Amino acid sequence: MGSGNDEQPDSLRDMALDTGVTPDEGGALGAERFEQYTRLHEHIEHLRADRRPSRPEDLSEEEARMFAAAAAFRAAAPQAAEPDPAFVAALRQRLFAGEIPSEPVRERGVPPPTTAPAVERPAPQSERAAPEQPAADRPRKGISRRGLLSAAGLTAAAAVGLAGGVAIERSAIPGATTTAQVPLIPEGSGMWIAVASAAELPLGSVKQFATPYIVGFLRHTANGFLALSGVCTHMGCLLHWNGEQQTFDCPCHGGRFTAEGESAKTSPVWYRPLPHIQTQVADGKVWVYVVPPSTDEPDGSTGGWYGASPSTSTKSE
Amino acid sequence: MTGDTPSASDSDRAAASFEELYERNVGAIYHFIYSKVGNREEAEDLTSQVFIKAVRGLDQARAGQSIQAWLFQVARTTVADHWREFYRLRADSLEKLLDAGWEASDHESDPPVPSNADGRVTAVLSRLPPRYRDVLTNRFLLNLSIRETATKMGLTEANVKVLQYRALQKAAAVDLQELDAVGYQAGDPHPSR
Repeated sequence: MGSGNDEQPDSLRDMALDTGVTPDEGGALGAERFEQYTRLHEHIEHLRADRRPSRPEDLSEEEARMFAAAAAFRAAAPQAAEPDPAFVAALRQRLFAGEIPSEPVRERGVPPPTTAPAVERPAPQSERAAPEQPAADRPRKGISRRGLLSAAGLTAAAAVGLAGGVAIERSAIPGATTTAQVPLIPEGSGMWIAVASAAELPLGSVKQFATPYIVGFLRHTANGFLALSGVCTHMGCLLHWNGEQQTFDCPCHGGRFTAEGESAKTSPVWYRPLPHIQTQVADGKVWVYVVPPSTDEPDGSTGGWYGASPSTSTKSE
Repeated sequence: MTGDTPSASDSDRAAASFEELYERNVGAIYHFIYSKVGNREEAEDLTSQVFIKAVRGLDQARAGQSIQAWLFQVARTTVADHWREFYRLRADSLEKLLDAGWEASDHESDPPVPSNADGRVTAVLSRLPPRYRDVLTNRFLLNLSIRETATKMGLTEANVKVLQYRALQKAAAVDLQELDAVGYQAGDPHPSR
């Protein structure tokens, strides 16, 4: 015991001096006590870094209470305890669009059965469908939980690329260079949203895009444009494109997906593939088909989450 | 599948209300959980768990609880499971730890308002000796490093490590009843404890 090796013995003497504590409290200073200082300190540093702390060994009940107190104090740091808007969006996507991957639907330029006309006339629609589009404009028939929880419903929801809605602030996704354009016609429960100009995506390129209900990646492949959900199917973390390995990597638990969205061989664990999102090209833009998850004005209730840039999590509500 | 039966529309209503529940509560639930784990990685994991449990359990009887109270109950259970695993405490010790109510959150349904310190933390700080209060303020509320704190307080870094230990020890021992006696409300978001 007592092998705290990141401090010199001199520091131990230092510790006993001038800490402003009553002598009896300092009396038990010893190797074991020193170890306690160190592991509490390491715990605090994990919290300050917002990282998962390592699990301590042989923690006394008193120490456990101190660790818990440290968590509460940490939560009182300015804005520490506020969720990252990207996390909120990703979890919403998981909850309301399902995690079961759809059949791949990615033919270039093949519109879904009911929405083709919408693409022909985006302009008038875009005037009306401003980012704060009232939810009342949406069809009342959203994704029901009943549908959500049944395999058929999941397929239906996922097949159209999970959920989506209106434009997200450009700043919300640092890597995104395009603000999603306004939705076209909500047909059925989904709508087409332009997320990139075709010209900015040369063959082989990958681009992240975001709408309030979906974060994804668009790839220009030899077979056309392929859109994939950008959310890890494990715990919902946002994936990063790894151009070197040509994989989508998850920062949370190391999950890795191929450029086609399959769990990569180098992934530590097999994860369900990334859902595919329907795409088509029209007006020189690449559109993705998304489904608003709710009929109960999600925009109105969450506007503040998206109005904020990622650097300030201040809510505007 | 079934589109228009009464139970289907109930179910649709449940779905709509769950989505609303998510929007209204995700911030508060996250805040509650964060105040228990104190770091973003675990807070995101556990928040996800809570809502995934909730979406699966929505149809279950909630015994008269409001849906929000039930949601916080799910959050509390999730935190308890996490703590059991993390601290490896015996059941009675764990219960004591939970009952110590080390949560900073006193938000119930509104999205959390940014603040520098929540009620419990402020109340506890005010009862600590000045040096303990200072070290915790510097380290947590101001988020200063050990080195910065040492410089600011005129101590060595080793001193700060000891001081923060003793300050947290003292803070953890502050009696909730005592706080209640001076008018502090524990602000437990879940009614049954």
